Amino acid sequence: MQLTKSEEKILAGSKGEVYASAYRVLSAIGQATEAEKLVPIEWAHISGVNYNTIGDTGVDFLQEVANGVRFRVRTTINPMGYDRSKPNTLSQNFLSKQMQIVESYKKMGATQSFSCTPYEIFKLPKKGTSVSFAESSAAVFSNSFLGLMTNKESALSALASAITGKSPYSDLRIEKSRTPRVAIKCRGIAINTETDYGLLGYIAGKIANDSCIAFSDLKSRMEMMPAKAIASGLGTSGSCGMFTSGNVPKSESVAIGEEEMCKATDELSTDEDGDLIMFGSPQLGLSELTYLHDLIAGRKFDRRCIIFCSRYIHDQARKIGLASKVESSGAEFMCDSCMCLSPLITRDNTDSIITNSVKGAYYMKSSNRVGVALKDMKTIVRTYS
Amino acid sequence: MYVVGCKCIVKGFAEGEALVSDTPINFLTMIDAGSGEIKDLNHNLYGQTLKDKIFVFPYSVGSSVGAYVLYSLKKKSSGPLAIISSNRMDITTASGCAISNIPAVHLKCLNIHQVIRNSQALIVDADGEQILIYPN
Repeated sequence: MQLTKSEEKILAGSKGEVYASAYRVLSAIGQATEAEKLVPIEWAHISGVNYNTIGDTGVDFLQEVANGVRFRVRTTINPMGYDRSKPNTLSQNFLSKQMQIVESYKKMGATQSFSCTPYEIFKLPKKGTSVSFAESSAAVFSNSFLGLMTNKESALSALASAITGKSPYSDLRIEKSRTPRVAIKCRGIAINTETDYGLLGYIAGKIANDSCIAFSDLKSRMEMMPAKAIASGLGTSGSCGMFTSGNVPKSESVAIGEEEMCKATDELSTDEDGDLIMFGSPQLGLSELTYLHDLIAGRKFDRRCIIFCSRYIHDQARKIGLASKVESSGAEFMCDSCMCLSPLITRDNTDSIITNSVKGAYYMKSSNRVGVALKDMKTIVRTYS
Repeated sequence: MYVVGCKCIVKGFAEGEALVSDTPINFLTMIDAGSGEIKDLNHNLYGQTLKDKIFVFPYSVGSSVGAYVLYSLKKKSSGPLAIISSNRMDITTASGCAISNIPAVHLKCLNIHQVIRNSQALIVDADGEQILIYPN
């Protein structure tokens, strides 16, 4: 990758160690993705906010970085560990470490979004704009549905891009890489619920070897709920950063059938039942809350039900009366946070959870180490209310 | 000893034993960020550690936070000596190695076991874009 003279100087340390490190990261990912040069980006979305994901070394690292650095572009951040407006039983250590992380990002000028769905909250740049999104589900969603151009960035590469305002011009930032060469076909399976879409994405992520894959049997227009489900499933299992739907001429096809769907379900759904219900990985938006509200139709949940939501969406839902209607089912909102690696759910207090999210199921099982019953939202409401 | 060419992603030099994974790695869920142990029960290298090994794997998948796991391993002296990607070098791995000064190279090779076996002694010379492999 060719750096400009001024970029070379910063890499050599002319603006200090933090900027030099940022350019070291950009150079490495530029090499990895065979970029020719760096290009400006308009928006960075950073992961690595929840203390449970980055730990003490992450806390210290961000404190060092935050000294003397201001983000160059609009920067939003992923969910943190808990809801700031609610009491919790987390340790003093967790709370203070989490606050140190939040302070570091604030100091650098990040918007306190605490959301994995920034595309549902903020004004979107026009199609074709280069951005740098780390959250895997948001990167896949933004490439696939919003026409934004990002590689599947890492927590550290998006941070480097927020600091420098640049990312490598490579891979999914180049139009020709956005045409899939492999198309997934559905062989004898019906993809109906959001959980089916999530599973399909999860399986495809394991198959995909390119940065973009096609689902040739899916309609090119998709509702928000299945769109978020398939994007997050794909982001969870693979390194693929984009998909298209509808037929793709001249592509090689790979079939997914009953056997693959059953295998993925068995892998993620370890239990028949669970102690509590969790919705919101990715965090729910207004259309999903409306769908949930319609399903509940006056019934009450027979066990605890947590809805993860960004504060912005929650406040909007509150304003239009939707939040209180949903709460009358006994469900509770949990803002600022997400179910993945939530410190609130551990093996000490929970045997298993029920969720409609493939991504949530994967992280609950593999990181939180609790059992999972994976069912779609309609089935969950029918069974447990 | 024989030599194979590779592509430099993060500069550096390392000599040690290879730990070769056939399957992609999600650093956040599969690797213990303190000890470097592979904690995924379904992984064929379950219980083995990345610490002081030259870790060879196809590419990383899933969480974008995996880059912090590499940084944490390095800080806790539990990190790999070097990394070799055998299918493609992904952004999570490249950025994690860059910030942690872990030498990283890419060696495109679909059947990596034919070239590097588990426990085989290697030298990764990222600057010189070559891997020196000792006979087994």
